[in-house]
Amino acid sequence: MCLLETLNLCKVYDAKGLIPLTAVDSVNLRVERGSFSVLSGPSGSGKTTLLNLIGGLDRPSSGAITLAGQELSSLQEKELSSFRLHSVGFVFQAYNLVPVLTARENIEYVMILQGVSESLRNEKVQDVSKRLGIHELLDRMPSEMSGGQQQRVAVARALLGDPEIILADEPTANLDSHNSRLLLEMMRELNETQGTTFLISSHDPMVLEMSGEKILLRDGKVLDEAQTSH
Amino acid sequence: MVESIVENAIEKDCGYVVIENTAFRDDRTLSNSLESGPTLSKISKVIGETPLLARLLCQGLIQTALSGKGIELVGLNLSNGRELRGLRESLVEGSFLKSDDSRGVLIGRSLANDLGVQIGAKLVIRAQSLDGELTASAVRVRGLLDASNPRVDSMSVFLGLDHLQALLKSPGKISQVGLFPARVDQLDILVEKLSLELGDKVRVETWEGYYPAFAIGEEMMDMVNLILVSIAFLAVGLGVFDVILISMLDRMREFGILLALGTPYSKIRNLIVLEGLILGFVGYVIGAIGGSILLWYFHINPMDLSVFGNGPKTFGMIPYIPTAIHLEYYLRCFIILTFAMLISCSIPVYILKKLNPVQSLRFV
Repeated sequence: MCLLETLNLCKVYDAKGLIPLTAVDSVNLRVERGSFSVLSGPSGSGKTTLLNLIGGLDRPSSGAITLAGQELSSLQEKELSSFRLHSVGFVFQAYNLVPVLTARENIEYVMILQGVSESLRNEKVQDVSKRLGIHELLDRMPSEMSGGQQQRVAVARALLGDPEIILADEPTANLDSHNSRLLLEMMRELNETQGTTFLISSHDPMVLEMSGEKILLRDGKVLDEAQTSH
Repeated sequence: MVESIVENAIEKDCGYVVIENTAFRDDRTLSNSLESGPTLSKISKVIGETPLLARLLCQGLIQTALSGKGIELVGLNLSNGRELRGLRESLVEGSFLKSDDSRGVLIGRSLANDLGVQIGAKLVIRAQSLDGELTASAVRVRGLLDASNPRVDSMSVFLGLDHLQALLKSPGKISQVGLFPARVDQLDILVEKLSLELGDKVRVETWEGYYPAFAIGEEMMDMVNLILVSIAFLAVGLGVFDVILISMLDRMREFGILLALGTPYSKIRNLIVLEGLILGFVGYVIGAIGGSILLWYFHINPMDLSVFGNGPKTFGMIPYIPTAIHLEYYLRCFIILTFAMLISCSIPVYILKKLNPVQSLRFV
């Protein structure tokens, strides 16, 4: 079943005095519910921009995005904010944990916004932190954790919002190979056991190796299989 | 500090309202004096029980066996009470003149030093009487004054009004009347009423007219104070603005994360404003308490300026920096602080409104 579909999606950066830059160029994409897809491509190919557009962090210049039956371009800022809260979980390359909150508070943050009761929050935090191996780090501040630990906290935060899809932008870029493998195995397990849909942007071979569907981007365009083989 | 000069001049010299013959300002001779009886009677009709001080002024000479100096003789009605308070407070040595003392004089310590005399010294005062004759009287120094007023301290010799009137052969004559009303906020009305009562040949004016330089000085000092206070408050406002703005702009990325996670913009806006207000108010309370303690300390232990010489005192200023704690200062600070906080918060709020989450995350 199709969870995400983009139609002729374009994003053009048109800064004054500069040549317009097309970061995403007429992208047509379909992502199935429960899939573990990877957006791959060299640096500057538009992976992050595409993820930002899909996650409602940025507005497209043209085209349409439909996620879980919701057409994003028709949403007002307030509705887009609610969409991000309820439908999308983000895992960023730079972790992006709130620096003044502990790991527990970071994980709980999205659930607090969603109005989840304290007891249920505690239960979920305990459960996910054990599964991700961060239950002993819950009272630490982000600055007191390693990159791998911070990224696992970020995954826990994305997961507990119970989103339709988790968008992970280069999640292993700042991690060593050991931590990268651990993180990917964990994400893969969540995908297989819970049916969580993952859309990951990466050019890490390890990520590509573990992925289901691979979507190759170059110069903002999705390459078809024939082009990929060249 | 100019206030202290003005207060000094009022209390120890002219009073709040000065009444004199219109010609006396330009020609300070006995021929331009007033008749005491009718003048005081007319004044009393207007002012009732308001304290007043009638004075007879005359240029003269004071001499010792070895030296002499030109001075101003000031005849005072020694039975006065409140009106002589300023002069009584200036007595630093000896005793004040008694009402029946027809031989004693008070002189400034500065004049005493110039003449090389002390308490009890015998002096001769000379002046021209109303009929043009040269008159003289032997007197004794009863007390020394230190009024922080150059005119009083080095130029004036105070004696009983009757004594001076007799010396100048001008009984019933006075040169000036100074008034000391309890309420000083309606002096203009009082001047107007007195002018009507006393007629054209008598000048009635407030201390501001009598001492225009002091009035201008006070006005200028008010303006200087206003400028200095404005600069101080501007600096405080900019300081608060700067601290809060920087602390907020530093956290734009953090706000971007919150936006990306689905936090409504309105919640982040409220968070920024609330944090700014808390930060500002905590600073305000600490500053207000610290400032009050400092002010209180300097109120008890005034910063002594006398180490810089007699300059301030010579000009009638108090020789220390006065301190005052007024609720108004705290209110002004509070208003400026609130204003600065709101402006400094509104900038990141505005920037955040204009940026999407991706731009906020990349904000430097």
